[in-house]
Amino acid sequence: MTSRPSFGSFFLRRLPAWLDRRSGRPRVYILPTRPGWLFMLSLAGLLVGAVNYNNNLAFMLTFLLGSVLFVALHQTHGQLAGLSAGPVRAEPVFAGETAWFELALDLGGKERPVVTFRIEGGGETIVNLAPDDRNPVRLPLPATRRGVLRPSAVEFSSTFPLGLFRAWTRIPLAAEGLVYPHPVPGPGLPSAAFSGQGQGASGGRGVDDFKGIRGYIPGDSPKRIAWKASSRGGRMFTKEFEGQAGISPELDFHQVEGTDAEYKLSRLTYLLLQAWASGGSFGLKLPGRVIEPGQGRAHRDRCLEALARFGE
Amino acid sequence: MECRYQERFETVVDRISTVVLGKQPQIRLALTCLFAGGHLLIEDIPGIGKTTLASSLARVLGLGFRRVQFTSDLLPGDVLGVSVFEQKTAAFVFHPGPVFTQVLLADEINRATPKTQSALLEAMEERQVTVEGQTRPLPRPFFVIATQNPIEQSGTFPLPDSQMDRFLIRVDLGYPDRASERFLLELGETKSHLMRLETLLEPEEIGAVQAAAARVHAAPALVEYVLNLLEFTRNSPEFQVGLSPRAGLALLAAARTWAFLCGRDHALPEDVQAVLPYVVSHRLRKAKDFRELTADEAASLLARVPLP
Amino acid sequence: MIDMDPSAPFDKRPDLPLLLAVALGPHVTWLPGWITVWCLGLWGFVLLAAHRGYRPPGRALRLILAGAGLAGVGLTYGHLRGMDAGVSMLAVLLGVKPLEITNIRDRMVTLFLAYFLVLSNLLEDTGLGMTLYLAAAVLWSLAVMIRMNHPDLTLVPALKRAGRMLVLAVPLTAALFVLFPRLPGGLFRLPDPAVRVIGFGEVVAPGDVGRLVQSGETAFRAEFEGPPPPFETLYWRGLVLWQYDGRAWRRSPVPGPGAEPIRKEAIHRYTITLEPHHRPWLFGLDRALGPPPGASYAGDHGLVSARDVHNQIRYTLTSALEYRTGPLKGWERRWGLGLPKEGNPRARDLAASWVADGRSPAGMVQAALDYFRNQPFFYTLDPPALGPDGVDDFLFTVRRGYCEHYASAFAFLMRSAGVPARVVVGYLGGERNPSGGYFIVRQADAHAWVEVAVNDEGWMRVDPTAAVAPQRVLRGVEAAVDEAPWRGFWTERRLGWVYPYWLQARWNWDRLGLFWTRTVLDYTYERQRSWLARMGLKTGTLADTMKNLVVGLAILGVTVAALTALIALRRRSPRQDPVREQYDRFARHAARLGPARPPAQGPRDYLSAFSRARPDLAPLARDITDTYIRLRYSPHGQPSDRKRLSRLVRTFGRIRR
Repeated sequence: MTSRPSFGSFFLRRLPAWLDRRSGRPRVYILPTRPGWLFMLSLAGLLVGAVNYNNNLAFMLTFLLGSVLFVALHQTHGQLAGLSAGPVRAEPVFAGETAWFELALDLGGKERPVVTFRIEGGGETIVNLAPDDRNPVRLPLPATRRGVLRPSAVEFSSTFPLGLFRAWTRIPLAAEGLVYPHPVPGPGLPSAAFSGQGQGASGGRGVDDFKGIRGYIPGDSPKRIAWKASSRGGRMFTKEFEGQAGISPELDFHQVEGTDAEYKLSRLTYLLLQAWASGGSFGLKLPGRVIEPGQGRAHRDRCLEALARFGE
Repeated sequence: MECRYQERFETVVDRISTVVLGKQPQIRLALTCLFAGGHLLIEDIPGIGKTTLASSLARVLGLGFRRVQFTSDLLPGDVLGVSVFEQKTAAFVFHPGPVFTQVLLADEINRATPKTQSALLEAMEERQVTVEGQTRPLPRPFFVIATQNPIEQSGTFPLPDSQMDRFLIRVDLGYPDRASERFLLELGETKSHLMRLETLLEPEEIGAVQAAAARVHAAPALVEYVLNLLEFTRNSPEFQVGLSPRAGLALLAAARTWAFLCGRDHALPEDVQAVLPYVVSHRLRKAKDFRELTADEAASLLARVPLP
Repeated sequence: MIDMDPSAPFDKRPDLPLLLAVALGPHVTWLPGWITVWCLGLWGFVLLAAHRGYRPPGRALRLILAGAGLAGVGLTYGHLRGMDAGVSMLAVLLGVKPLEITNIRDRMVTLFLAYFLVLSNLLEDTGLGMTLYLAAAVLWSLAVMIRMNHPDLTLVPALKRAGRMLVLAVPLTAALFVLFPRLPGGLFRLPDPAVRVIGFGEVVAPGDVGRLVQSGETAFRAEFEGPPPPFETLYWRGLVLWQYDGRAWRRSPVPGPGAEPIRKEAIHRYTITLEPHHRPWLFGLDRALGPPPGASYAGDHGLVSARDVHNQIRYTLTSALEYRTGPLKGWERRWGLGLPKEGNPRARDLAASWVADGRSPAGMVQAALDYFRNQPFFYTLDPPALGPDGVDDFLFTVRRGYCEHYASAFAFLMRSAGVPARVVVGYLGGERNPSGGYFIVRQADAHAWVEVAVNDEGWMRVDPTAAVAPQRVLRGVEAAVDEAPWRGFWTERRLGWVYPYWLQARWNWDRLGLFWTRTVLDYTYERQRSWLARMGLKTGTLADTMKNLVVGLAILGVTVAALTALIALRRRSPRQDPVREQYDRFARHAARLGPARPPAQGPRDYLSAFSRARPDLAPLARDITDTYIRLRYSPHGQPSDRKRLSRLVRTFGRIRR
């Protein structure tokens, strides 16, 4: 279902919404679901029966159900009222993976069962929120393309407890999820990619002689995966071969083969991951952005971010 | 408002940064650490200016300075000192080790064996040395700047988490920016500048600054904020373990000193935010890969805890 | 919305079938047996299928099943109109409905339909028991709905939540109940060809009263104002039967309203709570002095309501136990002597012999009673069948019968002898509930007697049964007959020492039920009018009542909203420092004029961010921020700073752009 902030919601928004507005919380809209409309229709039928037979118990049943409807309206609204979302974070992912946006929620100390979350462009996630639950809500969003995922809003909705009403609210997001380019392995490490002129005899990744194994990085050729070693634990390993490669390479956008910018970025990503895994220092040269050679994970992440944000 | 030390503090930073180029934030943090009575851990590759920072600090503040290069064969006695039998007097005479100084640079602390490491860390914590049953107080102030190379891992003994907690602040120096490096290359060695640094503070004044910094007002609202931060790290599934009460004390002490050095007699949330990344990053590990946080990651924590 | 595991076509939980069973439950007593079997069988199959993983039957099969069920109902009743057939159809369809359930929406629709089955139960029977049934059914239905929407929830938390909802719904229910306009009687009640009549019909044939006595159902309850009259005078007068066709006695429409008795003594005032019997007549102690509101007082002093009694009703009457109605009118004498031309010759001969003896009318009454007393007559619930000359058979050969046999024969003899007589049916006696001091009159207390006119004093009650079985009159029906079928299982013999406790419990329950009826269920058009009038509300027209409803609900709504707001505010405010509140006001307004303050930003940082965007407002913002910091974070805050802060924030709040 999608949100329909129609005229009905204007009438059905209740007083606490006014309080919410005062406290700067997002508005909660609420409308009957289809079973909700059918329930009201049934109520009308029951009322006709009660009037026709002028039977006070029948009146009581009708009014009790009508009041329950009202209570359900209140409670369904309360499912979302006072629910506020803290900042949203997403770990960077490679294109083709799924980005998980982590949403820290302030439940206001209330249990809120069966709340559906839908991040813009993603699927629905149904969560039972309990105040003592420490896990943030994780919402998947497929990261199909390199760049920055900026879902503009997340929609919460709930029909609990009776399924007669659906309350929903949209919370604007300021979150960014980095999507690194998908690493594309090449036939080796072309020295052309390194603008640094030093031609070392070893130290880079080549194809000639087996050197050892190292941790798997996305984009490694499946042919190179050290299956035997990988089978021992949860981690994957890749076989390394010694070959010709540059030392302290600077990965240069213009030196990578190919014409398509995205392809080039993908290749650069792979080379960068390899350079990082080898433990050496490396730099990145993109049109309009140069990252001086460096080492370590933080440096690698800086470079990957530059690749992700390229052309922004 | 009391702001007697503010200009003086700025002068100290200025002077030191003529020797350690382009590192004002780190110098400020180092001073905060010193005046808060804590010890400093610098994590970076060699040749980046750690020694220069330590010795210039000592010089400007008029403190004694010693440097110990930690290696795997360094023994606790080499740091703390040993008693030697002297023929002349026919008695054991204690030869104090390099720890008996005011500013000690413990270079590459993770290269020493855990035994030596813990000997030093005990001295840091207790500000005294016990050798062969005899306890000797260390000079005051006593300030240790330890360094670690995070890249090289072979042949090292990483400090256990409990020991990391002894350092009030951790910073990484990082490469100098381009302008500073150009300056460095053109000017050559800065050691000569170091010699020309004059003392700006008397040793007894340092004690007074430390005492005044500890008296900075922390309002209930501020304490509440620190509590919220601690609670957040304990409740967030992102971290393996939350911050300890000791970390909370460290955070408040660092924030107070920062506020004091900024010329205020009360601490603001901004003071907590300024020091927090460097106070907590080495005390938290990510639940996902047990990795310590970087200062940036620690700073992102701030955005998620609203002010009370 | 949560959909169940799509691979499982049926819900494994018995929630919904159980609810349907609850809705069907009370109907089982009268529904054709095959419908009960049909429903339980199909629901059982659905549960079995859910656990075994059977596929649901196809659409065609379901349609065939539904068609067959409806056809079965049609064959059983011969028509498809009226309440019984309607309920049967609904039950049959609800039997089939779960077979097609695949998603939550279908399940919810089924649940809504079950409410109609519940409602039809309430039309059959009212009272405290049904009220509790209603609450239980609604509670269970809510729990089922909650579990539909939250499949992981176990039963007990679901029931708790449902219970909480129900409790929260009570105030609004009460308001609607009181304020919703009632109409005098049903407005457009649909004619029902097959209403199950309880109690007396227009015609009473030999054996009819005996059949009524089999039933333990309550006919009505009577609460006396003041001490009740002696047991043997409790003749609850109902219908007056004038016409005799040789077998059965029949009621006749009586011309004109009844006149007040000319002499009345031993006056009692009492209130009757009459159970619905779907006929218009009302019962009152012999003899009522006037009709209750909404009823008429017929020429034979029968009380007839303007409408059939479909719901429990209450009315208050005044009766005189001793009375004289005065000389008979012409039509009374004429009708009181009417007999078929032929039949029962021996009885006619007996009456003729009394006439020949020259007896007075009173003497003839005495002669007839003596005849019953002296011949071997037996009082039994189980009399043999009588031939075409029923009175003759009874008087001279069988001599075994129940009260209507005696009344019928006695009246026949009187008419044959020229004494005006008529048969009256009603109830005699009742069970006194010691717990409430009122009488419970059951169908088992049904009785028939005769009224004769022997002189100018008018109609007099004569009970020939008293001549045969005086204990029936003195101590009640249980003392007069051996078997007591209306007691069912709950007899003293079976229960032993538990019996007194059981009896006491039953009495208490009955009293509670009467209290409930009196205070709540008997909320009629008239009571609503008087009640609302006492509250100072106008109730003259429907429009007035509707206005009351709207106003009342508005008052309730405002009350609830105010309470909610109060709770919400109180929940929010204690954490909030007034200084902080002022700053929040500043920040909220500042967000309209410039950048918003992220919740984690310190006041100084926000000041510089805001000042960069709005240098024109920077001095005021700085003043506010400094004052705020002084109050909240520094040790130098003064009380005057608080005033200053709120003044500054007010000033700031007036800035529009």
